[in-house]
Amino acid sequence: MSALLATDGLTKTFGGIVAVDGLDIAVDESELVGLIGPNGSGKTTTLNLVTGFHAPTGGAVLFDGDDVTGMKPYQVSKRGIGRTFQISKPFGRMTVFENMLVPNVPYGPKEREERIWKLLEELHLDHVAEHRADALSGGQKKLLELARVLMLEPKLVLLDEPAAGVNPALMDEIIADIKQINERGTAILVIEHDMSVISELCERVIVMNAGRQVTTGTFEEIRNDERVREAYLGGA
Amino acid sequence: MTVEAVRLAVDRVRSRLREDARTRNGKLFAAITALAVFAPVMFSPYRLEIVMQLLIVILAVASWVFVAGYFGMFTFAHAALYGVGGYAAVILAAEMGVHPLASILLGGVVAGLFSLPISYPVLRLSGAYVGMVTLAYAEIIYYGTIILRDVTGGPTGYTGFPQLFGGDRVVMYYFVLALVVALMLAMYALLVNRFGLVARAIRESSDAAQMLGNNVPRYKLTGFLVGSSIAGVAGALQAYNILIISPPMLEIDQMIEFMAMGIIGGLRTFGGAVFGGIIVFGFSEVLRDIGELRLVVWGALLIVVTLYFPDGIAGSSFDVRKRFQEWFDR
Ligand SMILES: Nc1ncnc2c1ncn2[C@@H]1O[C@H](COP(=O)(O)OP(=O)(O)OP(=O)(O)O)[C@@H](O)[C@H]1O
Ligand SMILES: [Mg+2]
Repeated sequence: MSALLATDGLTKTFGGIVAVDGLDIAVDESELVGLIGPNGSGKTTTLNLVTGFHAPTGGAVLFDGDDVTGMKPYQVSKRGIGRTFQISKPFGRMTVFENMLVPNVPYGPKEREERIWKLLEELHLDHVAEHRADALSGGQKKLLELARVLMLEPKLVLLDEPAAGVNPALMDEIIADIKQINERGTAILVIEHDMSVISELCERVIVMNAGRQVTTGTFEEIRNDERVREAYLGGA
Repeated sequence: MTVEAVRLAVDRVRSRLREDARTRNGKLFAAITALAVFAPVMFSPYRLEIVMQLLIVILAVASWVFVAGYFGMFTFAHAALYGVGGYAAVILAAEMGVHPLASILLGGVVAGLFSLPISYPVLRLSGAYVGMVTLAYAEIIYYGTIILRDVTGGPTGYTGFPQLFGGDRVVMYYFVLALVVALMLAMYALLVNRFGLVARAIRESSDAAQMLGNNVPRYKLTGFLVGSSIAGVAGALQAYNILIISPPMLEIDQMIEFMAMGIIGGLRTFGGAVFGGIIVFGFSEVLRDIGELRLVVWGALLIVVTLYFPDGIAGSSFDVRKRFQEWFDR
């Protein structure tokens, strides 16, 4: 079986900095994969390359059997890749419900509304549906971003630090939600610095350093890997 | 777009109109519109001229709020495009025999075409860069109208073109009123539908809007073109209204006036253009005698509004009756 998402020698340089350096990673259908690495190792840049916010300097992105390299973000989104951002980007002056109307989905208004309420209930946001999004807590904003992306019924969701700035009470909820979304068949690639979240969530972890994949394996495997320790301790 | 989609959009406009009509702003607009309809019987001919200019200014400001307030494309070229619409209309009518009424719409089309060269940077750049590019473009157009003497009449302006409706001012007034209301409604219809929702999303985070499957560049281009074209129509109306068009109409002072109106009225609320237009235009009529000092008054007004009503007058929840009651109860 070929992978759902694969990068092939993906490279991005910013002036003199090589942010992503001949990266080959893959995510299979329905897989829940962690992407970790020290600060500045190129994780967010990888997401930006996959979702079309940056044009790669070299290499290719393959998704669901097609070459999606260089496509615009909205085109990538139409093909089934959803994404949240490292810094939450809720539409703050809109209500939570209005936020849910922004995804470009092909349903009529009635079906759309039903789906919105279903997702808001699932992600525990139904009671704040009429609140302005900028009045939500950090964790609720992350949940809203997740709910919004799920409106598109993506095949793959890329999450950039979904647990950052979330209070511990909401953390368990977010972890449970991500697991549930994955159990229904959506593949997920999650970037996270909190190792307890990664060990809780991920079947497999990809470790990046200096724009390359250092290794990949289960959490137990990578935890005992000398190269991983070096990447984090050696200061790249 | 299917028939079904159009029907849904129209339904949406109707229900939003019903909703909005019950708000404080809605009631004020209803009163203002009623006043406008009866203006020819209530006001002296001189006053009527002023009301007509006010209507045109409101349309121009609304078209700027459409672009700057909803999409966050803070363009300084709007007054220049307003002027381009004016020049284009009267030149087409006078030199090429285009029917004056048709020339007004064509003025809008030409203004839209003139917005294209800056649409690429406006779509791609953000914040201060959009301001700089559009400001430079506005200056080019302004000097163009002065230098291209053979076409534009140079610094003294262009005049001697045919009048509308044989100079009947009351008919002219109702024509202006109808066109302004129609175009305001058209923008309102766009804004209360998906177009406006996505525009607001783009203003807050164009990345997130795009990642949610929306073709952001196309929305922005459409918004920029529609706003610029409507500014052109407003400019054409203004030219026919005052029977001359000259470079000051598209000077930066004019732009600052539009911006002051939009910001004071409220950039987040389409109706802000109406309030801002009335307030600033009213002030500048009253303060006509103090000349350039008016700019100082607007500056002060801008500071007060941004401090106390960050969303402008229309976006504030200021309720006169309630404040009065509070003051009374003290
Ligand atoms: N738009 C950009 N322009 C210039 N350099 C950039 C840009 N985006 C990222 N970089 C650089 O590329 C490198 C990788 O950054 P990236 O944001 O991908 O790291 P990261 O792994 O997501 O780090 P963190 O864990 O801190 O979020 C860094 O050196 C960063 O400074
Ligand atoms: Mg990052």
